[in-house]
Amino acid sequence: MICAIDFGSCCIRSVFRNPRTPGRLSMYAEKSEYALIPDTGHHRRSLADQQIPFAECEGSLAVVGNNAARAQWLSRVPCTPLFVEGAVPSDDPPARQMLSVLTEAMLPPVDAERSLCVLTVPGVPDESQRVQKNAEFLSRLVRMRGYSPFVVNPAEASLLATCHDATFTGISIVMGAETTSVCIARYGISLANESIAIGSNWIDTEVARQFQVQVWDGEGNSFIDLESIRQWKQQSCPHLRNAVGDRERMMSRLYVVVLDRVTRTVAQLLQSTPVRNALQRQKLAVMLSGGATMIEGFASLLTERFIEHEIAERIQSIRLAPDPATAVVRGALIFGELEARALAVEEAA
Amino acid sequence: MLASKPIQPVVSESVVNGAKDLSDLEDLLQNRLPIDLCQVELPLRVSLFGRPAGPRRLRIDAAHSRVPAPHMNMSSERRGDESVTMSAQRSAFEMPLQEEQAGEKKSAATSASLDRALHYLQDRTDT
Repeated sequence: MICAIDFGSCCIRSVFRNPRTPGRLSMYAEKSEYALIPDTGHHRRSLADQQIPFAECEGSLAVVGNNAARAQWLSRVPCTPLFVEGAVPSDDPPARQMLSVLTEAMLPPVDAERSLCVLTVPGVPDESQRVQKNAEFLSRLVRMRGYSPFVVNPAEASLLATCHDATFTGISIVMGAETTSVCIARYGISLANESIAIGSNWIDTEVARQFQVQVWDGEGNSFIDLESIRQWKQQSCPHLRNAVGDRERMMSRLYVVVLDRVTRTVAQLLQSTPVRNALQRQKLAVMLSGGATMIEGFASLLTERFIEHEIAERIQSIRLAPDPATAVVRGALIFGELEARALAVEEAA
Repeated sequence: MLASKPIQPVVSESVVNGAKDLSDLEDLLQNRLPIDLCQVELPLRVSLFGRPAGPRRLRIDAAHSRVPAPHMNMSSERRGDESVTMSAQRSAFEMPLQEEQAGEKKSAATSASLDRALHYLQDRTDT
């Protein structure tokens, strides 16, 4: 069995080929958050009546994943992310256990002696101890399910899923909730990659702060209401180049700030020695994926920033992936299948 | 030595499987495989160790220990201002008073002339 799991800061997705339905992919997708519910008899009964799975923690009940939205009305505080700032929280033991429960439920049972699971790890993959611990923790969860874990960069995975018509050569940009990953590859081999600790959550948080989109609990504590901002984006479908109203204009400006950083990163990667040696002045296709790139006008705004930073001459095209939200996990599955073939050849040799 | 019959290519099972694998991988690469979104089966009730951190608080307003006193400025400068305000108010109230007194005088004058007219009419009637 080969499967892939994308531990995203907004959503966790897993995908695999189900032997019972050949020619189709099976996917699980769960939001990476949990809702805190007061631990009273009434609340327990409400959850039980609606068949909502819940966890008993110290002092409260927790509803994890997609069910959190169903149980949110029972709580006065917004949902808590399972990954805080793109990292497995060290000060939230129940959140770590919830990740374990979700991973166990989202990976199919192994059916072979050697099963491979390709995973992506949230956060910026630098050499810091915190990120290494992230990868170790999530790999251990995968290993506990019987798989051999294999960590892959989200931008590299997305490149495999989206750049087949460009012979897997080009620039892949994955903008997620907490992190933006950039990778430049030639024939599927990464030449240079970089990750920035900024994503759509930063934009949503700034908009919420500016317009005071908050909720209060019964004790007067104030929380930013990010869910409200996300719903507003889904309902009003704002366009980054034709912003209407103060809120849309501010969001557009914040996207410009983020895309300026992305563009500077792309410019630096294009100037790096491996890229210059391998690609010289070749024009490259840019493929966009990740939930944050799905907003209208994203590609157009990025084109503008490339022109502004004088790297547009190196760009052949800027395209949004046909499946921006699932491109990473599908690419991770491709990575897994290629890796399994390479391992089989090695063993045969 | 030439063979009398043309040699038939032998297609082994592994080659067929390999071709099928390649076709499967090509479908995956081309995003041609439909995706079935499945429901995650989570246990209905689990016990977890520890206290959840919960969402990050944006701001905590300190509780009020007692109801604060009214915000009144009792300084001398404020009194000076008040006297000015009072005089201004008085002048504002005096304006209609003067008008009222004038109105009373006017009405008194009007009543006197009426009396005179009534006396004149009475004198004429008597004569």
